[in-house]
Amino acid sequence: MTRFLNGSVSRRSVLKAGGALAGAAALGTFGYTPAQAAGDLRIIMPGGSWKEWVEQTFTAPFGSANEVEILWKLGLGQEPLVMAQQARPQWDLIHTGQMRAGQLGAMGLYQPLSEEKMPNLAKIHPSFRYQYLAGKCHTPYGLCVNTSKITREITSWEDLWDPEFKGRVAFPAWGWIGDEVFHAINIAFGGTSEDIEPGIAKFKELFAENGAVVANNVEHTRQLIDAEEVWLVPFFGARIEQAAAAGTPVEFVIPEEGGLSWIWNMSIIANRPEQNVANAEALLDTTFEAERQIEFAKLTGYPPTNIDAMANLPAELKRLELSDSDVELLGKLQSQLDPMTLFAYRDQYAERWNKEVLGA
Amino acid sequence: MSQQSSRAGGLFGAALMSPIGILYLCFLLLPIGFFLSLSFFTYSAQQMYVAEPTLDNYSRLIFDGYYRRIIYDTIRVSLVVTVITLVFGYALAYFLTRVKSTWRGIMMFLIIAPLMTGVIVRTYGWIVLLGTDGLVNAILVWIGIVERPISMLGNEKTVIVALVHIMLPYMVFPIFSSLVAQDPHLVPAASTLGAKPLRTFFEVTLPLSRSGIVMGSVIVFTMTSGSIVTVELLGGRDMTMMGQLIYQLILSTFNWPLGAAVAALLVLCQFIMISYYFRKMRRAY
Repeated sequence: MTRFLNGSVSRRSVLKAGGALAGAAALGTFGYTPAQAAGDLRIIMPGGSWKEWVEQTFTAPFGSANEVEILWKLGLGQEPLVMAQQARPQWDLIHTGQMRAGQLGAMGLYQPLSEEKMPNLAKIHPSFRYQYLAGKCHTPYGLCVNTSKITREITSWEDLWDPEFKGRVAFPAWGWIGDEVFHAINIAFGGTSEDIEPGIAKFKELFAENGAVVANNVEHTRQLIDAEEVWLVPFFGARIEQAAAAGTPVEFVIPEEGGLSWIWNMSIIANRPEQNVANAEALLDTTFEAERQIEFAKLTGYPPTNIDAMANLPAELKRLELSDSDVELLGKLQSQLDPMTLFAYRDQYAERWNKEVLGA
Repeated sequence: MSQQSSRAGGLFGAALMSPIGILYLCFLLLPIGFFLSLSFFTYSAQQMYVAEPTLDNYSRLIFDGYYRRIIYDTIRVSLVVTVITLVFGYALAYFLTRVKSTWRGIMMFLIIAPLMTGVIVRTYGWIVLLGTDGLVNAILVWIGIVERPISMLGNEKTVIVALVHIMLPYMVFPIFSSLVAQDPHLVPAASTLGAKPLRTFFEVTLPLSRSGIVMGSVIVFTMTSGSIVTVELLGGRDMTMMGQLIYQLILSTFNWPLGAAVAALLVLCQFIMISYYFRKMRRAY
C-alpha cells in the first residue's frame, strides 16, 4: 500500500491489476455470476404485458421457490435465433404458438413434451396439446364486430367481403399472425396448405375492391377498433372483450366456418444442459396446474386449457366457459393445416401475398 | 530524435485506438461482413441458408419488378424527406442563430424534446392526430372545410410528413453548428462591400455552412432509407420500403440470404447517393 502511495508501482503489478480488471469487466459484460451457473433458466419471449403476466403467475414464484434465476431475452420474431444457435443453443425456453412449435420441433430444435417429466400435462385438454407445446391458455380468435355501425347479423368470414363495409374492414399483417389467419380462411374457401389459389383470389378482392387496411399488431388493431376506423376485423376474443369493457361498441363472433385458437406457452429448446432442461420441465409443469391457469385467466381474460380449470371456473370467469362444440369450432380450420408444408413454402407464400394481394 | 519521438507518438496513438478498433472489428465489421456474405448463399427452407454460392438473391432483386419498385420507392421517399427536412431544418437553424440566447435555449429544447420519446410513440402520436376521430379532422369538420372526417392515414404523404418531423432534429443541429462557427464579421463585411442580404446569404453564409448541410443530409437520408416502424404504421398496404422488407425476410419468412442481399443493396444505394451528394456539394462551392 505504501509502495502504491509512494508511486513505486512495478510494471508487472499494473499488468496484473489490469488483467484482473479486464477479466472482471468481461465476466460482467457477459452477465456471468456464480449464482447463474448454479441454476438459471433462460427464456425467450416477445415481452410486453404477456411477459408481466407470465412473470407474475409462473416464473417469479417458480424462481423464488426453487432458487432458480430467470433470465429473459425479449423481442418479436426470435425463432431465427434458435435456428442460428442450433449447434450450441444458449436459451432454454421460447414462448410460442402451436404452428411455429410444430415446425421448429419437426426440425429437431425443440424437445418433445413428456408426461413422465411433467405430470400435470395429462390434465391438458387434447385440443390444446401438441407434441412440442401444450397451452397454459388458449386465445379464441374470430371476428370483431362494431355493433353500432353494423346492424345486421355477422356469421361468416365472407362478411368481410360485404361491399357495405368497404374501407371499414381490416386484416392482420402477414408477419404478425396474418399468415396463419390467411391459411385458415383459405381452407374455409376450399384451399389446402399446398393450394392457396382460392385464398389469394379472395384476399386480392378484399384489398383491391373492399378497401381492407392492414392491422400491424394488437395495439394497432385496438386503435383501429377504438377509433371506429374499422368496423369488422379478425381479432382475439379477450382483446375484443377489453375494448367492449372500455366502452367501444364491439362484440366477438366465431364464424360458422370455424374460428381460430392459438395456444400459447413455452417450448423447451433441445440440446441444453441437463440441469437447465430439468428446470424448464419443472417450470412448464407449473403452467399446466389448474389453480395457476385460473390465476392467469383472471389477469389475461383468456380461457385455461387444464380440464379441471375449464370445468371449475370461478363465477367471475364463467364467461370464458366454452362448450365442446365451441372448442371444436375453434380448432376446425387450423387442424386441417399442414405446418411443415406451410413452413417449407413460407417464402413463396409471403411473396405471393405481397405481390398479388397487397400489390394488387 | 524528432523522428523517434514522432514514431513513439504514433505508437501511443495506435495503442490508444486499439481497444475501440478491436471492439469495432469484432462486434461491428465482422458480424456485418458475415451477414453480407450470406447474400451469396443459397436459401433453404429448413436451415435458412446453405453455403452454396449463388447470385440468385441479387438477380431476384434486380430483375423482379416488385423488388425494383421497393428499391426505387425507398430512394425516392428518402430523397424527398431529405430535401424537405433540409429546407425546414436550414430555416430553423438559421433562425436559431439569430434569436437571443434565452429563447435559443428554449427552442433548442423544443427541437430535442421529441427525441426523448421513441419513434413508435411519435408515430402513434401521428395516428392520434390524423385519425378519423383525430384533432386535425375535428378542426377541419368544425371549420367546415370538410363535411365528414376524411382518411389521412395509410398513404405516402402522411409517411413523408411524419418522417420529416422525426428527422428534423438530425438536420437542424449539424447545420446550426456550422452556422454558429462562422466568423460573425463576414456578413457585415460583405454588406460593407455592397452585397445585398440575399447575395450575402447565397455567396457567404450558405457555402460556409456546407459541412453542416452535408452531415445533416447524410444522416437524414441514411436513417430514412432504413425506416421501418413509421412506414409500417402510417404507410398503408401498398407502401413498402427496404427496411420493412429486410425485417420481413429476416424475422418472418426466415429468408436470410435474400434479406442480406436487400441489406447489401440498401448500403450500396446509401453509399452511391452519399458519394454523389458529396461530389455535387464539392463542385457547387
